[in-house]
Amino acid sequence: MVGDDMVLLDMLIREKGFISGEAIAERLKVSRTAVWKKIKTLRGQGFHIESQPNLGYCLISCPDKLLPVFIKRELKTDFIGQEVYYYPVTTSTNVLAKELASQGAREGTLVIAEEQTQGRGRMGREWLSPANKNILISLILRPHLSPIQVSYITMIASLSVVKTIEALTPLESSIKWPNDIMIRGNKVGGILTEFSAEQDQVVYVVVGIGVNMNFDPTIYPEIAYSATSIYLELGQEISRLKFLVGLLQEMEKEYKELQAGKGLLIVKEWRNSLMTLNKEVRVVSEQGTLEGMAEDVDEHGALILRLASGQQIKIYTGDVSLQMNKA
Amino acid sequence: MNLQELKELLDLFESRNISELELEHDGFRIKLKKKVPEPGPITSHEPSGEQNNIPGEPSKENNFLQITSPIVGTFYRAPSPGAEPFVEVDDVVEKGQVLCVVEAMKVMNEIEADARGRVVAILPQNSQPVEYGEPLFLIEPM
Repeated sequence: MVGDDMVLLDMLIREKGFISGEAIAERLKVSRTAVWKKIKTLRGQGFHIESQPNLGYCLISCPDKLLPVFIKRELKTDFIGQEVYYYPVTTSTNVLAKELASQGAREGTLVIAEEQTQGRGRMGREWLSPANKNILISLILRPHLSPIQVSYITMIASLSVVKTIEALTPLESSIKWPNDIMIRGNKVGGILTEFSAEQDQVVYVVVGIGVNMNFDPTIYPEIAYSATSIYLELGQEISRLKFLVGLLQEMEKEYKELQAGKGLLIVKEWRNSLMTLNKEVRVVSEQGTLEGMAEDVDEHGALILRLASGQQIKIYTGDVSLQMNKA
Repeated sequence: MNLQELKELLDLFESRNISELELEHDGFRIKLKKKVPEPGPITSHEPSGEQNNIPGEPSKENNFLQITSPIVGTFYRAPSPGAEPFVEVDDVVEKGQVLCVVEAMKVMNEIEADARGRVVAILPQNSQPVEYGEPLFLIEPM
């Protein structure tokens, strides 16, 4: 959305009643025909705008969309989300963000999609999400980190989701090692971090964040028993915009701490939010299945597993599930 | 041991594939050591080793670009299970082209080619764990 449209929308939102086409034309320094064309464009985007001869235009309702213009009005950050690429439908926000990052997009650039046709979880698994119901974003970051420290980014993203849920709802969430956000044992969100490095220095990180907000996952057989949403847990919808703005602000706060050298504090906080520790778990990976006690995590977040034999091993990849019968 | 014998010993040591020799004979003791190139784990993985064994020829390996893993994790040759691998042996890759993914703690690191070249070897098997600094690919720059 260009500057003029932003100003027009701002005028419509501020004005409780009708605002004349003449006043808008004067403010934007365009003809009244141009104003009418802009109104038509907004209507096409889902804005309900009433027009009356002699009175002008009146905004009745805004579409339930995460439009950049809405975000700009609310967001109080220095760089996270200050540059927004918004897509009603796209393949995958991470794929787009990686393209933008390699073309030099600046730190904090945000990619939003209302719907993804090729949404991905880990290793190409599908990420299911109906249009206009959830939060599907990717952020471009350029941290001063070595490749081994990029897991900190996943940690601050997970923590930001947990803290935003805590700030805006009475719900309690926790993190399942290493990147799932869970409410009462079901998955409400996930993080997919990808990065590019040169000579042991990170060039860019793309962190994809998906949060199930206002949809009912139980109607999808594939995820009915493993996924949940804020709506399902709370019994009512909440504002996606408010959630997104809170999430971005929290993310910037955490990221600044990381850049200030407080990585180990972040690991400690993340560790305290893990639901996985001190439990009997099963780790399934391409290398096979392991069972043991999830004792701790190391300074980069690798899971320290104690096998039945007493041997301690570090886990870097795999799907962890709790052994309920042994708990 | 006279000078002639010593010279013969040195020639023999030089011409053979021996890196170290220690000899004791009638109170005379000599220790010879060759300066060997950095021992890298590449040699053991080198699939087309024959071409490098021509005596007197400088090892061709030295001209290969080695792509190593920047993290401990799991090596993936394709973006998702069942998908086409990013590259195959003998493929010509461009600088910046993605060669593989190394995953750790659900962080995906796409490893790119440092330079344009031909893929000579893909060292780890798909979905195998790799260590920090472990060689993943050998690229012959073009």
